[in-house]
Amino acid sequence: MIDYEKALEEILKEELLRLANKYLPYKKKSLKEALNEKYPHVTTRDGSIHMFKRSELEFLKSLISEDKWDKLKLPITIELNPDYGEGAAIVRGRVEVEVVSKILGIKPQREDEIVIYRPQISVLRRHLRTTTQIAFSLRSIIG
Amino acid sequence: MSSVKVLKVRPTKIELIRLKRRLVLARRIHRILRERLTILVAEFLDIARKTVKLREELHKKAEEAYFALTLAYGYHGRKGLEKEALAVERKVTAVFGINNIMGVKVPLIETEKIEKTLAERGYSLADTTLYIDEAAKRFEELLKLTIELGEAEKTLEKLGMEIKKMRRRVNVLEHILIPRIEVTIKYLSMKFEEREREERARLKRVKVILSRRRGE
Repeated sequence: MIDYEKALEEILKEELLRLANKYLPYKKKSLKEALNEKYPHVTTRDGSIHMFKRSELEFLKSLISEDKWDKLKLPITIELNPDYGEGAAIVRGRVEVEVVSKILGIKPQREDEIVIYRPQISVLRRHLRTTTQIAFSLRSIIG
Repeated sequence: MSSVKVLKVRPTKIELIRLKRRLVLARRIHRILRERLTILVAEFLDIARKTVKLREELHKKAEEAYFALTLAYGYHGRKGLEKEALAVERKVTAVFGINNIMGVKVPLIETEKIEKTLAERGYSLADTTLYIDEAAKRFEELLKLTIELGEAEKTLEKLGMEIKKMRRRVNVLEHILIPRIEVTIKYLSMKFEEREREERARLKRVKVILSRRRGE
């Protein structure tokens, strides 16, 4: 007979570990740094490598002025935040907000923060698949 | 009769508290997993659309490439084509990396300039015609598309496997584990209430006996 309690514990343990956003980078890189690298990449918290597509970097380069290249940190984190309702996410950072608002064609509510919803996440991911990462906010993990 | 089974637990208050805590945790995990599943499905559909488009384009390009090759074959003949093919620069450089989509590791292939100029291709321009140039160009485009399609299809496969696993987990939580914990909590609560009622009835009985004795 299957020990359901044990199964539950196993699932919870594994999922919590994964949900601790292990796939996020250990340290973000600026667009300028990434552009100067031969193989632009970041190291994730689980020790693996996450590469950026050069075409996406070039696209980002065309969206913002040169003085902002070292201010844009990659990958851009799309933080799923339950405070704003189910399916809502938040992107923080002035340059990041500028990039997102330009791609989506929307006006941000604040200069350093923008709330986006599921269809917009899809559009954003379609344009920046490797240079964005979806993460769960700490509040959604801890509750 | 309910089909949900009660978990085998000791009927103690500590166990009830533990189960209630576990229920809160299980519900939270279920919500997060559902959210993750939704995002993965959205990514999957997006890549599936891209894959279909790429495949259609690949079929079209392959048709064009083989048509161009047939023309070149017709003009130069087998020997002529083989002679020029020997001199062709075959090297294609590609970088294989990993891209992480919400914990799912998918491949990323970056090719370095597949489309070559006439001079870079390596065959003699004096002995060849436009037919060979056209065929070479079409096959370079085809190769680029094939690599892109390979990346997209592998991503699709990896995401599909993860979605399957994730859906099973969400279903286990939703239809088995959470209902079982709920039923067990209900069962334990009822058991404690029953015990309390028994205790109260016993106390009442003792009170009656004591008052009867005092009355004697």
